[in-house]
Amino acid sequence: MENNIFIKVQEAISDSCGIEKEEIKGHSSLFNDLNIDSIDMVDILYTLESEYDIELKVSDINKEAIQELGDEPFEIDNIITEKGLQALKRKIPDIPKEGLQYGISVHEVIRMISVKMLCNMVEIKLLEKTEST
Amino acid sequence: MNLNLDTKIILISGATGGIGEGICQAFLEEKAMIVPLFRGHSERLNPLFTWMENHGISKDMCQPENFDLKDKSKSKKLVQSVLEKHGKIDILVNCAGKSMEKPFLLHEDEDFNEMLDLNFTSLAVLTREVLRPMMKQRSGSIINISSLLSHRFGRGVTAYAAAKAGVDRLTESLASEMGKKGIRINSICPGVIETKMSNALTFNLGDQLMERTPLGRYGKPEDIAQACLFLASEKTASFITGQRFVVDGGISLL
Ligand SMILES: NC(=O)c1ccc[n+]([C@@H]2O[C@H](COP(=O)([O-])OP(=O)(O)OC[C@H]3O[C@@H](n4cnc5c(N)ncnc54)[C@H](OP(=O)(O)O)[C@@H]3O)[C@@H](O)[C@H]2O)c1
Repeated sequence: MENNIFIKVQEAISDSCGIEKEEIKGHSSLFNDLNIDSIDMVDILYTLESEYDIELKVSDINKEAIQELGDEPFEIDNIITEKGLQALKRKIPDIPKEGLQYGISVHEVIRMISVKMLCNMVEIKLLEKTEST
Repeated sequence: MNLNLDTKIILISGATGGIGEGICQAFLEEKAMIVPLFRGHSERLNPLFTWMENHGISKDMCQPENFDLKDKSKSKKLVQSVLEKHGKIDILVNCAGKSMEKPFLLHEDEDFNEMLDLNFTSLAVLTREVLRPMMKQRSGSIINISSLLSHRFGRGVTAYAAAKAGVDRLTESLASEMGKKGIRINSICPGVIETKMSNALTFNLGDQLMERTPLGRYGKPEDIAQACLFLASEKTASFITGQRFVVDGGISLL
């Protein structure tokens, strides 16, 4: 199934942005390597939402880290806390660690999203969906 | 001139109003299929169905949906339902609106909310939901029925005028975001058009305003509807986006 999700994600990115599928690798960063913009991102998410009948938000990328922190703040004034950064490293193993330095904003983390991370987001949503039915 | 609108699906809010009905008729005359929005009883659309019958247009070309624009959280569901039934939305006409005439100092807090909620926020939410499938189609045209008051005159209608100014700015800024996806967004700014909404104004002013209008008459819903067809069609307006079209018989020249 994982592989299947990757193929669908690849297709969604290719359709939305006109990028050749072969160029879309698991480790490719959507914003930095594939140069998509935030409108393309909405387009990609909409395609995946329709494909899998799930709801996706880019901010979901931080969801698990936020949940792990419980009452501890994940961000203060949009800057991710030290604990928030640690939680992100634990919860999103694929995130480029060198980018996770104190001072980065929530928005900057979103910009680090890779194809593989997007696949994971879809997978988590699909699991949540099967658990709730 | 064939505007190539005959295979198009048009979603129209405010279809039970004077201008909305005129817009529905104009698209039907171009053989497009319309999805007019109404709230409450579907009999509200009876005049339109009667008009269709008199013009030999099949009932199937009009597929109404019951929707109160204030139920913003249901906008997504509405769009999904239209997509399930008709497969696509090519054109969205945001025509629902409400004005409020009262001196600024007499406005209650609620009045500001009401004016913004219907004239601006619900339009923005419906537009957002329709844009998602349009982005997939890589085409689409959105027409916002704004008002001349968005940028001219406005004494006694401040909250309404401000909400309509918001619609125009939304049109302009959204057009620059969406151009890349093949979607055009424009607004039409009507002057005084003879409908229920302008009744009080035209009644109070008698012929005064009409005489001052360079073209010597008030507008009719058809005047707005024809501008709408022009902006909707790729044949006539494929290179036009983010614009504000004033249709006012020249009154703004005063
Ligand atoms: N007439 C003018 O001189 C003039 C001038 C400038 C701009 N405009 C603009 O043109 C548009 C159409 O106006 P009009 O003259 O045709 O006015 P109208 O005859 O009063 O029609 C208004 C339309 O908006 C709908 N509407 C209001 N609240 C709604 C809600 N909560 N949910 C769904 N629909 C709702 C009405 O539905 P109901 O029938 O259910 O109330 C009706 O279909 C408006 O946006 C208006 O601001 C008009």
